[in-house]
Amino acid sequence: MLSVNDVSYGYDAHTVLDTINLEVIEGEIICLLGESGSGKTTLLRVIAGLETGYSGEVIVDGQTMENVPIHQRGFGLMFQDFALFPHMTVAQNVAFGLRMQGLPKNEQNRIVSEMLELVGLDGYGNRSIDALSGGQKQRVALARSLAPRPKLLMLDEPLGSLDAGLRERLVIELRDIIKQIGLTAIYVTHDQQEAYAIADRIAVMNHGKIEQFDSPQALYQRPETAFVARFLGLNNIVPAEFMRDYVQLEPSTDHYLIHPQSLVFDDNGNLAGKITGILFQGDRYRIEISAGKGIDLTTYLSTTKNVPQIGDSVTLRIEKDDLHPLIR
Amino acid sequence: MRLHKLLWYGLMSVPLLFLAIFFFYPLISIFSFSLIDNGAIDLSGFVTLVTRPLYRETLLRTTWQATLSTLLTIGLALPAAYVFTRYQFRGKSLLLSLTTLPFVLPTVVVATAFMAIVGPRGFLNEWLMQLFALDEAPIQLRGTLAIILIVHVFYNYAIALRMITGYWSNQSTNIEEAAQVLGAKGFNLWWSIRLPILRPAILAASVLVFIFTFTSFGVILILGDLQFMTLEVQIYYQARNLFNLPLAAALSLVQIMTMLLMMIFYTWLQKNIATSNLQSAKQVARPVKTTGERIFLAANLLFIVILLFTPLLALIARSFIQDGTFTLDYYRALGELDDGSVLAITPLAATINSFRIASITTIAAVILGLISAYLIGGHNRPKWISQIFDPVFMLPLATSAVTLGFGFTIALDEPPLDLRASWWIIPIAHTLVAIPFVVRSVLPAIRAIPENLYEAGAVLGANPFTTWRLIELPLISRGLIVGATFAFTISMGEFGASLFVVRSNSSTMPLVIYRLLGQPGLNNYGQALAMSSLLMLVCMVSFIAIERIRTSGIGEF
Repeated sequence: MLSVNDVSYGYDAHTVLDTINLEVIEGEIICLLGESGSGKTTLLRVIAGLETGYSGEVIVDGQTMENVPIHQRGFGLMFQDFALFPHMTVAQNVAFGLRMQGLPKNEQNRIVSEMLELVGLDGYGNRSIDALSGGQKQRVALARSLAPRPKLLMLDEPLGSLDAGLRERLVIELRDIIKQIGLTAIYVTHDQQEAYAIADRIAVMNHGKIEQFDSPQALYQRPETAFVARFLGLNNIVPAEFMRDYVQLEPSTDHYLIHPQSLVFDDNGNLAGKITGILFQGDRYRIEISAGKGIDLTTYLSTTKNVPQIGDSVTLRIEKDDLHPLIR
Repeated sequence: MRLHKLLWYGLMSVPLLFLAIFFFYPLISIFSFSLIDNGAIDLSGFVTLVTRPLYRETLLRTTWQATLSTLLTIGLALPAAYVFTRYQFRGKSLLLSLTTLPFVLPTVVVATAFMAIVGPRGFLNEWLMQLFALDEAPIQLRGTLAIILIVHVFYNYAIALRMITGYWSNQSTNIEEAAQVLGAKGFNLWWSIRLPILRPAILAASVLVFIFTFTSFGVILILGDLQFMTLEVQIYYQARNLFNLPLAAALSLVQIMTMLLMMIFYTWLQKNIATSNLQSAKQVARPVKTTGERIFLAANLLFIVILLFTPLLALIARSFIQDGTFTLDYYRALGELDDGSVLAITPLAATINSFRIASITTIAAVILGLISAYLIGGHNRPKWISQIFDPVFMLPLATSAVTLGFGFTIALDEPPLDLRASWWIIPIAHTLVAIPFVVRSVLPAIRAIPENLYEAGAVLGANPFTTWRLIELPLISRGLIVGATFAFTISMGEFGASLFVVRSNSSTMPLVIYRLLGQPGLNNYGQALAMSSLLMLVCMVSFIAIERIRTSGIGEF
């Protein structure tokens, strides 16, 4: 549905996007995940047509977007700070896109009330924007971008300005609504939990490049690079030569990732270490283990288990299957 | 796309062209008039300026009265600023907003109002003459420095008060409290703590008041009675009464240069204020407690009320009273023209003319000011454009009205731009004066619109013009209305430039008032009072409109 081909963008010798390639299939929700400055928002803006002067191509339904002005693209965009029109009511905001399409008034009204109901704001049509809470504004912004049935819905950190609890609830709701209408969507965030919850596929971005583009499960199970692994909070990255002392390995890569849940305490284990840190996290302990040669590993232990002490010597069992090779 | 760009550039060039023809061209004419004669550089105008003691004196007197006016204004505003910053009392914000009323009052109105109290036929003199059975008015202030200082305080008190209060309210009281803990009090506290803290605001306010009083014209012309010659009055006198144009041009040049220097200084000070370490606006005001504080508060408020309202009330009262009884005669006389009157048209006709001129000025200033504001601060404008054009569009504000009017008469006097006899020269001159006010009212509104509102409009399918019409225009409409009201009010009261460009058969309200005041006879005086009251009414309505639109806008966006 959408192809981004070799798109690069930058200014003053500063590269923001570096030969980006991306394919989005009809009806899927993809997520651009990365730290601030990784280029995720810029990529979104290039696709939307808000940034010009890039190289490469953006193709939608087989048609290049190069000379299509923003207002004729038929996309939807939800801004981080919502960008609601302060001089219009809730209903007028939601109706704006429909009005631009030249829909008759009664048709506009029908869709507006339908959309407000969808986002759980029925009866709010005549409110002024000032009178809304942050979460309500977010819903109006969503309704406004959904109302014209965009070919492609883009969401730029749409929950970024809300507090954590609200965010967790709304992200699920957001996915349900988008799926219910059956829209193709691109969602930008820096929060991995949000990305896991909403996306069919996630593109992890780093310094203007896409590091990996995969389903949330695949991304977590098989991160391709150390960057992706670390970004997802997987920090047990060990050099191959260290592991060779414990496991039979073909020399295929320099580094391996061990998921923390693969690190199991076992009295007959093959890897000895010392506990250097214990952090109580409520449902679990986070346990830091020093495995010698400067290698530190992290694992988790359920709080129902007996907890070791700092300084305890422990052994862990590591199988060959637990080692996941990293390309970089 | 190309055509679109071309149209855009065409639109942007309209206000620039207007400024080039009606501001820079007259200004250049003044330069060449004062510096060049028959193709050669001729500095005789300046030589006269320096060698004749009369003109040296003019320059000194102008500076002297401006300095005195400034010191007096600041000195009186400082205690009031303390009251407004530190004390809570009822009607505070109303009073603070009322203090700005003089901004919109034309100089002729204010001059007439003060005459209604302390003039030869003013209330004060009438009472004193009755009380002591005198034949002559005991208070003779016309032509003295005193009356000019009083009126200058009336005009500039609010500027100083507002600037200092605004700055002070944003300063933390910690420093002062620390000093008090260390034992500072009374004079010491003011001298070594408060004044140094307020220095940037006091300096900026002083420079602004100095600029205003240095270029003061109407007040000095009317109340100074040609006995008190300042630079502005001298320019007018030389150009209109003696037709010594090279000398008038040389004086104008001195005026322009002084103003330019002061404006540069002022801009520099403003930058310092903006970068100085401001605390978040904490509420430091508290209710008054001791009797001493109560007296201090009451004294300041009483002063403000007396300064602001006595002249205006006296003006209205005086316009209805003849020989101690109520009368409408002065108002009735506005529609008539006496034999041998100095006026070529009735005051009523002049009033209608004023409204026509003000309407055209409003439309022109709003259109040109709006385009200018976009040229300076529209979104996606490169920063350098704003840095160049922002000061350019403020220049007419820094140029005195008399200089503008004088420039018009010497520049626009030959084909294809022979406008001297044209009626249109009046709204053109007024528009020039009004544009900066429209720009100042609209620009903050334009700049306050977040970039992503345009983007939201575009993504939702609105083309650039629709985005402007449906999103931007409603959001700047408030600023636009305020700007339009300013333009209208300025045009209604414009005096300095009008004095040069207005013909007697197309006279305006302020000019008619001025002419009437210059004539002997109770009837002329009465008509001037009635006319001034009417003009004041128009300006007050504008003032209320501006204040209402402004304050209701707070927190809206």
